[in-house]
Amino acid sequence: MQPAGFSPVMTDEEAIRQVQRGNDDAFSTLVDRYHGSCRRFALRMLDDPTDADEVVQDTFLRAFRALGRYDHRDRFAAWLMRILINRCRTAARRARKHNAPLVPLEAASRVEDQATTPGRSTEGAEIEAAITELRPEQRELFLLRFVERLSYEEIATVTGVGVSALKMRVLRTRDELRRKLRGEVRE
Amino acid sequence: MTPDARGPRPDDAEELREAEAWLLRQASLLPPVPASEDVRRKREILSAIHQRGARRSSLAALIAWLREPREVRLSPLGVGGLALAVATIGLVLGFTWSRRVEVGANFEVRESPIGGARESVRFTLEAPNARQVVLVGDFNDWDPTATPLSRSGREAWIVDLPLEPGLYHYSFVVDGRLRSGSGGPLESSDGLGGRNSVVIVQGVAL
Repeated sequence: MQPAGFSPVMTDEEAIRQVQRGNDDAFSTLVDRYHGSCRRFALRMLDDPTDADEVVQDTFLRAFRALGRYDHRDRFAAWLMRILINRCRTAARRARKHNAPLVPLEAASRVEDQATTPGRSTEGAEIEAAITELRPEQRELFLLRFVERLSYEEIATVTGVGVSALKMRVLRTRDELRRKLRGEVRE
Repeated sequence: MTPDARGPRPDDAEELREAEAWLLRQASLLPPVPASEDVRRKREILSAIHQRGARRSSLAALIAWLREPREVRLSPLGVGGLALAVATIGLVLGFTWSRRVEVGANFEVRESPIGGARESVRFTLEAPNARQVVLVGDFNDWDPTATPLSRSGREAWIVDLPLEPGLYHYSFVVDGRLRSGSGGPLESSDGLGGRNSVVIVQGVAL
């Protein structure tokens, strides 16, 4: 018998094994756990809530189908992110192909609960806007490394870019973001 | 000169640490993404998984099951039974394999050269484990160096031999040992307790 108030939490590993054994319901644990971060990433990469939701749904469907090939040595979050990045890149290409304007997210749609921290929200909205103006590879790196907190090795795996190149890109991203926040126009 | 053209110094750990700290602070200031409809969206994803036939194939499930490491517990009696089963399977396979070396010899008349009196006869022996196979018979005075066979595929050894019409006794020498009763359609005693195969090339009056 478990102690009162004890709530067993299924690890990613356990949930994946259960899905692999045919218990589809265990997949809801993974959706619950990673939907937020996936949607956050997709929103900031695509600047379009509808596209982002579509991409996130497609990502989870593909992940579900591919779980049979999942290597348990990988961290699930990074493995899932690899699928998500590919779907985002495809969606972004499609958007560019159809000349869909890349409209930055409405600040209001992202900062619903900023009323309690007005000072921070203004600064945050500026950063949010500046990020949407970064080049896609810089925005991708910023989000993976500093928002989703993936390691350089994991980012190298999911993006196909070497660790040294990623570190160089971090420095450039900092320079670029600083310039955006100062309102400078890049030459 | 632009920062990109100047190029950052990836070996400058201090600068990288500073850049990371600054970027991390910017990330921490980002407003949270609203999650008000997340429950509905998650429900849609799970519904799509069930409704759109997203279930993995049974083959994928089998592969996943086979790849999954698991602990196997056996009693001493179980281990003994397993060992006995493996030994039995090995014995049966070994017996079958060894027989395959000795059986399956055959021949076939391939063609009759126009205007010629000789037939081309193909001799075949299935001997997957053999390193060398030689054909000996009446046609080469049982010379074990005269008519070696060549490998054909993974199991068979073959040689094509032009023969005049007639009846010939023959056998195979596999890895230096004369095979008795090589499986041809006709056989005869070799007078020494073994058996030779017999091939009849058409055109001879018996």
